[in-house]
Amino acid sequence: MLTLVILAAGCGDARQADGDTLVVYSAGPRPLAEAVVSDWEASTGHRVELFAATTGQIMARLEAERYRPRADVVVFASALAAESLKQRGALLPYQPEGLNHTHEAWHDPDHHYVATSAAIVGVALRDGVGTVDLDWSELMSGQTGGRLTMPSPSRSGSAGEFVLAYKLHHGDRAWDDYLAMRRAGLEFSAANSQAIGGLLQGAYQAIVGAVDYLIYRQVDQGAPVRMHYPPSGSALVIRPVAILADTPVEDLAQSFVDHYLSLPMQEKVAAQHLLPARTDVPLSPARAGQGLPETFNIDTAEALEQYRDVLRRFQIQVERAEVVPAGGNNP
Amino acid sequence: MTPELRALRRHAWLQLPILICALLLLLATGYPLLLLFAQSLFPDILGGSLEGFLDPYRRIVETEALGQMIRNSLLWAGAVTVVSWIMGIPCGYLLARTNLPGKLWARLSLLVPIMTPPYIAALSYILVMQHGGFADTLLGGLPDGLRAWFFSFWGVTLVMALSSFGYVALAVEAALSAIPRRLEDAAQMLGARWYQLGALVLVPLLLPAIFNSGLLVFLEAISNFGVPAVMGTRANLPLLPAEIFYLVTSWPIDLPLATSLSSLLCLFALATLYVSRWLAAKAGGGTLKASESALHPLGPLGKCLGWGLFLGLFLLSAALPYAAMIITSLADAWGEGLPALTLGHYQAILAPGSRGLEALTTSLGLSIAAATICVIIGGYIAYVNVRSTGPLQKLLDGLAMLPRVIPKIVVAVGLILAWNAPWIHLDVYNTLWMLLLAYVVIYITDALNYSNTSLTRMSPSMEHAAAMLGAGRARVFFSIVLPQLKPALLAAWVTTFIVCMRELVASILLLPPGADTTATFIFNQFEQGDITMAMAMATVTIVLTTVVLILFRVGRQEA
Repeated sequence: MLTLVILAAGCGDARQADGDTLVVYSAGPRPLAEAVVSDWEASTGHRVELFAATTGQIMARLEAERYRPRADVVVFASALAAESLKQRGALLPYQPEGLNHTHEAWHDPDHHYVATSAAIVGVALRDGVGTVDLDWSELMSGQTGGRLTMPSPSRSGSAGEFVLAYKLHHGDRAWDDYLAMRRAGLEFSAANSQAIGGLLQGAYQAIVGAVDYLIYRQVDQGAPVRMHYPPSGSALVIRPVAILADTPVEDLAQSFVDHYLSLPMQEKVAAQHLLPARTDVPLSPARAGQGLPETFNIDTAEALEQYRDVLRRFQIQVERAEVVPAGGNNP
Repeated sequence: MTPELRALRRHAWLQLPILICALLLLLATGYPLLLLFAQSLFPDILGGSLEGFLDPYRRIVETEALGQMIRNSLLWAGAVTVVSWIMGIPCGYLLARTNLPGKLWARLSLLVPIMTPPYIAALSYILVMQHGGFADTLLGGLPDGLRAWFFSFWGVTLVMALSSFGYVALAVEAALSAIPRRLEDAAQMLGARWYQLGALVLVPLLLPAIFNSGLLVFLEAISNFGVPAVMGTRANLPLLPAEIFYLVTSWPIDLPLATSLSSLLCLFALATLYVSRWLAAKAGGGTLKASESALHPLGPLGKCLGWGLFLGLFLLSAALPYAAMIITSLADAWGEGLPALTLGHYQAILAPGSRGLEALTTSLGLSIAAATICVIIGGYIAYVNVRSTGPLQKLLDGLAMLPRVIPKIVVAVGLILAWNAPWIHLDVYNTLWMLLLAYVVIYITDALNYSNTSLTRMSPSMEHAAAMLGAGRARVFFSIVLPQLKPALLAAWVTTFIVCMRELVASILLLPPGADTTATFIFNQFEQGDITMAMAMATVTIVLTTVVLILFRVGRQEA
């Protein structure tokens, strides 16, 4: 055991005391995170230790390291995650340069976290399915015909936020809609990639709760699919960046946040088909035609409060429930 | 130096090895578990605050769903135990007391399910029973009632019991072989009917064996993560270990709740241990002298029924899941009937640079390292323990026992807390070292057990002779003790290697992102819907570990 500890000490990367290294935890897409990091390293000469993972993995690590914090800057794929850290007093407020060129409503009002970008969760359809005014009620009751899928909300953060936002917007009626969707033969995919794979192969005609930038990536490559935003609204998922309160290198952290909101980096964001936080950066060509659709107006604090309960109820009463399909027993 | 001081120094020097061993175990096992328990009581204790005392427990009491889940877990583990008894006790009786032909094969048929990791059996069963699974393809549609029954409390119970009834059968056989037939004969001569014989003679004599094997099954069931995580979720049956896993790994994270549920799980395990020990002590009176006794002759019908039982259980517990696993791993494209076969999935997971091969090498490296460390440290601790007396020895004994009883998931959660505490200045968490540490902590008991058994049979006179001739402590250990321990340590090494290769729960909780072991690869691929890859990896792992086991057995027989 002693040898183990010694070996571990040798390989472990003890926190640099020279104040020269910035530790960044970032949610995907990984190429974007790597590009922003290497660009910042090149322009400042400082080193970054990057930990790229899903928002869930990052939150698990932050929770485990709660009393021995290592990260300086965190980029989430969910405002709820940032909000929970803010409520715990774990974040430093900061107003980066260029804030006046951004969507003000996307940021935390106290600037404990600021949006770097956003995505919208709506419906992905195969070409020829549905009409431009296709709305949730029609889709969820199975009137569009064809097979539906949804990335499992317990696995996919964006699908989880959609389930929550839809419930907050529609109230308890949402549960009837969800169950109707199951009866119409909805299947759950393990993750976004699996759902998209099924849509491309034609196994499904629609993905409920599809995160748009992944669909535009397919559209960009000429796949016969399109992103659809139902007229009554879709879920806006903010991707915020935040500085952790315990950081010993606050100035470096602030410079990194500034960097993320700079014009060149925001162009990299747009190139991933995400919605850039800055309003003066053009959208990617694939999504430019759509503009900004109607989104559910959700209070982040309230959403955080209900997150666990809603997802749990969804998991037990919708996702795993035995539901008798409406048309025969062949799902 | 006064003589008293000299005596004290001498005493301290004599106690040094046991002190080191006790400290090691305290650091490795005691400290994480203590921290876990402390955090469950004071959720913010690591932040230096005693606020929120008992808050997580209050939430458990107040949340109806959590109470329900805890009751479910206990009920489920109880049901698994009872079903294992029902399957296992007749098998044990047939093996010990009757002239059933082909007992060697019957015993072998019990070993296969014991050696199969329960999560792999559960995955295979899902492949058989799910919509469009093997049962649907081959039997042309399963009745909906049967499927609903299978994906419910009792189906999950059945799968778990099928992988644990072998313990019961073997324990009952061993116990019956040690009980002389005289008592049964006497009862029969006095005119007892078969049911009186069973109820008044056999069952009371067998109670200790039944309790002990039941304890093993109950502990395994209540702390098992794989089956609840794989099948429990599909059967809408949330069980403790799987829920603890979700609380620790998926956002929103709730460590205080996870630690309090872990503490409860730990408590259940310890309570079960003590209650069953107490019951076994009450029930088991006196020692019996084994005697060679005539076996109960079975008629042709009896033989048929006996073999029917073994065959049926083998079919359900081994043949069916293994067939599903292997066919799936070879399946190319599913159409009508059976699929075309291909070795493509094996090529895909074994191709250089593939994630599958990476997982396999990670597992191999970790398992070899863990088994080696376990054997070295475990052998030494067992030696010190057997050759010492006094209160420190008692402590050491208790500490070494802990990981045998405490659920692995609890140890893993404790390790997460322990190695992220504010006073730890090593970055062990989120590296592979963490997993190596976990494997050693969890599986060192195997090395201890094997060495203990062989050490208690070893007389210390040789060591004394060497010491008198001037050999130092190290020389005595390396030249005298170690060579005698070698066979036991080798067996411990092989066992530890095999269990580490298949270990799921600690791996999935402690692996750094981006890394995989074979078990997490299987689990993740299945969750991601890539069943064929998962089953190919399961086959590779099982074949690999079985080959290691056979090589070891063959080598031992030749030696």
